[in-house]
Amino acid sequence: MTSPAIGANKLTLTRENTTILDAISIDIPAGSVVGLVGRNGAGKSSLLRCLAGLVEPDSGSSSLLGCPSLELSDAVRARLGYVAQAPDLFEWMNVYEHLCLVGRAYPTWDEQRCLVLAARFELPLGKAVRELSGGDQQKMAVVLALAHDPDLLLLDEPVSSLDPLARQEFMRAMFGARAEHRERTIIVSSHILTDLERVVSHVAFMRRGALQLFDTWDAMLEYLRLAPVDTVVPDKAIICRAAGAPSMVIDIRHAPGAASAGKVMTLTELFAELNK
Amino acid sequence: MISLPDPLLKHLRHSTLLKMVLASFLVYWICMLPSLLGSGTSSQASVRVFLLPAMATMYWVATSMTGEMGRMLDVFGQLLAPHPFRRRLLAEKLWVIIIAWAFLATGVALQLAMPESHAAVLSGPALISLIACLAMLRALSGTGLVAVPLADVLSALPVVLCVAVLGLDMHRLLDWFGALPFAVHAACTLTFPLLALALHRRWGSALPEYRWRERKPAAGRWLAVQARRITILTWKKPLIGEPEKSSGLWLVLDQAIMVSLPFIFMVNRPVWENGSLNTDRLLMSLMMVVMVAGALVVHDLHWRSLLRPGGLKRGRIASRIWAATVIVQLCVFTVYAIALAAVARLGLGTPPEVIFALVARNWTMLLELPFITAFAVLVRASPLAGKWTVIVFAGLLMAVMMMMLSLSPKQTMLHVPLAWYAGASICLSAALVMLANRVWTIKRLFTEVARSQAN
Repeated sequence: MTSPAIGANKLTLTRENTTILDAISIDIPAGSVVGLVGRNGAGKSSLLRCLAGLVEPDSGSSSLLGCPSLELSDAVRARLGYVAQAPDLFEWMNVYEHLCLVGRAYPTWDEQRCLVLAARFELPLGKAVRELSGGDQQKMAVVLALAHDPDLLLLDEPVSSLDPLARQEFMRAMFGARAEHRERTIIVSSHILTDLERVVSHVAFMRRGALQLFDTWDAMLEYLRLAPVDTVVPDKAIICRAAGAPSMVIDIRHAPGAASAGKVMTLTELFAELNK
Repeated sequence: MISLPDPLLKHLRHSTLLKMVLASFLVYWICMLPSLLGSGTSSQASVRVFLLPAMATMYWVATSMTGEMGRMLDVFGQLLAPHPFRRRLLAEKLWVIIIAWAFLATGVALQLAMPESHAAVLSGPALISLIACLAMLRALSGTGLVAVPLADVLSALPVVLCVAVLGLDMHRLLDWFGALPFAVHAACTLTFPLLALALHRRWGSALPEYRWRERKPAAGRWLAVQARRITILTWKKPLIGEPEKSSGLWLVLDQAIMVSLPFIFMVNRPVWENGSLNTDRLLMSLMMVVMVAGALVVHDLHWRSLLRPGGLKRGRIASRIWAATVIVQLCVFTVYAIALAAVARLGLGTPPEVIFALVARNWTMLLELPFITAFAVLVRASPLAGKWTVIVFAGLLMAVMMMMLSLSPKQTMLHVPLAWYAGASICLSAALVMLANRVWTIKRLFTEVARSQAN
């Protein structure tokens, strides 16, 4: 069995007596596309920062491509791409200068690929970074993360400021054909669930700093059902049952008889049920 | 041979400014050589005139370059980029500081080595080194590049330096420092090279890891936000505070220049002093109406504040413009007065009591500015207001002033008691604002805003 591309073991993070991450353990196989979803403040960004080694957890550990997150080697760094929710950029440079400067940090930087990406996102190369709109800054962060063709991408709400066409372009850029057919692992947090639904292989639901549910999206579609609350199922089959709610989420792997009692949910419906 | 890394130097935020400052020091130093080779107090003054700006430049270079190092760490750290290039960038920025230090320290040392200089040659480089060292440590402690002990104490460094420069007798302080033993000067001179060497070695072996942190809004950011809340009704340039159109700090600078122009003309000789009203100055102040009318300020002209209940009260538009303009003028005036005081204290060695006396002498400006502004608000709103009207108005005033200048000072002075002067200023200001309130309408306001944007 190959080692996971992303691994976390009991990651715990506390700030000012508030638990941000609550002993999160997760193993993401190479080549997966993981959608990280949860309400605002659920801990998605903190988890991504901990995984990227940008925040030191209080306890627990994580690794990227087999390397501890807090001690990433240069070889591993060259294979990573990260898009922050609020990207830090050199605001006094213009877009082209910025792309060139960052490009010099990566041995595998492909200037042509970078410029093609910038053109596809319609980035104004001559414009000062500080004059870019929020959406354009986000596009720039995406180009910076993708131009060296990384094997692992951590994306923290990368499309929150993008218009639908730019989002489409973003999807093409992420999932377009790669050189040498190398597999790319992606973990992306987003609130645009309809977009995620089309591309993810796995979904991780977070709630109040804890990992609520993690599985392949195919398994969720196949085995999770929204069933009336009075459906008789064993306790271990109940994924989520909110007090006073007329329905609950069940896993029919533990209650095969209840398969016909419930209905299959879209990602949006499942998200809503899990956060009731 | 030491050379600036040109391909990367262009990526420095202040590269052009840095080159210009260092070049101007070189030109100044060359121009001063004849006087330095001479004798007397002028050569001593030349050394001091060079030393203080050199120290200020060193502080600025060390602070801004170290700040850029921190920015590099943030941007590349957040991208999870490999270390080697980051290491190279840090080293190159360190080189820029070293080169500035070498340039300034050498310049100061050469000046102190001139025949007529009484201070120890190393005292200048020692001061430059100390400043570079402290400024860099202070900036490093804020960037997370190095865990600096006593970081909180160092963060107070700019305030301590300002207080020292303005409150202490710098000349005596420099004389005292210059008289310290050679060993002390040598040790102080070595502080910066040793710090640079230590940082170079440390970053060469282990680059500090970037850790994400919640950003505190910088003071500059706060200023920029405030600047975006105001709109200036100019005759020519659009200065609407739109975030997409211009940087907030440039707006602040633009606004400061626009509204500070009247002060430059007003501080030399007050309109009212010791019971006498200088009518020629009064007329000159009235000319300021033209300038102020071209730089009126409207606060919170954002649609959100316009739509809120009572957002743009009809019948009080002129009051709003008048109040916003006066507030900005007073803020700028405060900064202007502090800057003048600093220049007088540092450049000319003026004692603090003389500076305070000068400020106190001009206190009536607090009456005159609101009056001039009220007049300007009215002029701007009048149907004939426009470029040519203003030019004619200014021309007439100039003519009257020329006539007044042909008279002797005694003939232009009127005896007016303070109470009368203050009362008349306040009443006239209030009357002009009330009158202007009747003329200013929302339509007029937006016509002026549109004109500011269109020209």
